[in-house]
Amino acid sequence: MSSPSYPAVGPSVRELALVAVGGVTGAATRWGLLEATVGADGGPAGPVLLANLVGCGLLGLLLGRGVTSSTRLLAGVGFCGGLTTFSTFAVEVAEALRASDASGAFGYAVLSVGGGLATFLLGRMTGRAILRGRPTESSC
Amino acid sequence: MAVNVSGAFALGLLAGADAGTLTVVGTGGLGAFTTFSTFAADVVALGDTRIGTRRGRSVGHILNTLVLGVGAAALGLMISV
Repeated sequence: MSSPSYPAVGPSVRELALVAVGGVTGAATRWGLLEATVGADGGPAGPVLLANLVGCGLLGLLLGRGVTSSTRLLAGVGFCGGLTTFSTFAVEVAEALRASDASGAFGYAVLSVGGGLATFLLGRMTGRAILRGRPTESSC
Repeated sequence: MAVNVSGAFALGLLAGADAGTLTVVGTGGLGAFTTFSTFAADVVALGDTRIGTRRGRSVGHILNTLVLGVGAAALGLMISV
């Protein structure tokens, strides 16, 4: 099948499908986490924080190791994007502030951002270490 | 960042909705639409660039996203209640 030689604009249907499948799986995993911990009273932190930390770590691992664009879309943008959430995190911080729990809000924000960055970097280091053991791969 | 801030605002607006709507639109739609992992990756990437002050740009991105994101969520909450 011949296609005209203009540059691709925007994502292809296949790329969208990969992100969608990954995203749905990630979001469903996060929902499962929330359902499993319902009733546990731990303040603003909890399942969302766990999902965010795991998702950042996984994304770091993928990017550190280097993956095909399909895997990156499915597992990276898709699954990690769906597993982690910024909106729920932001609302939780805002609700804590409105409940005059400034220290809780600040602590949760620091834990999420600091923890997310830390797990991302750890994941990336691990990914790069895995990559080094494969002599046929070119490192970037 | 536009994705995360607008998603935070929208979720704040939803705050009073019933459990079913909240699960589908909140946890599912907005939760998946916004992303924490890409935010973290962007912060690190900004730190890796050699243009300007590396640490300054990363910290700036964190502060911008947090302030705008939480602010948007608070605004949404205020409007919805």
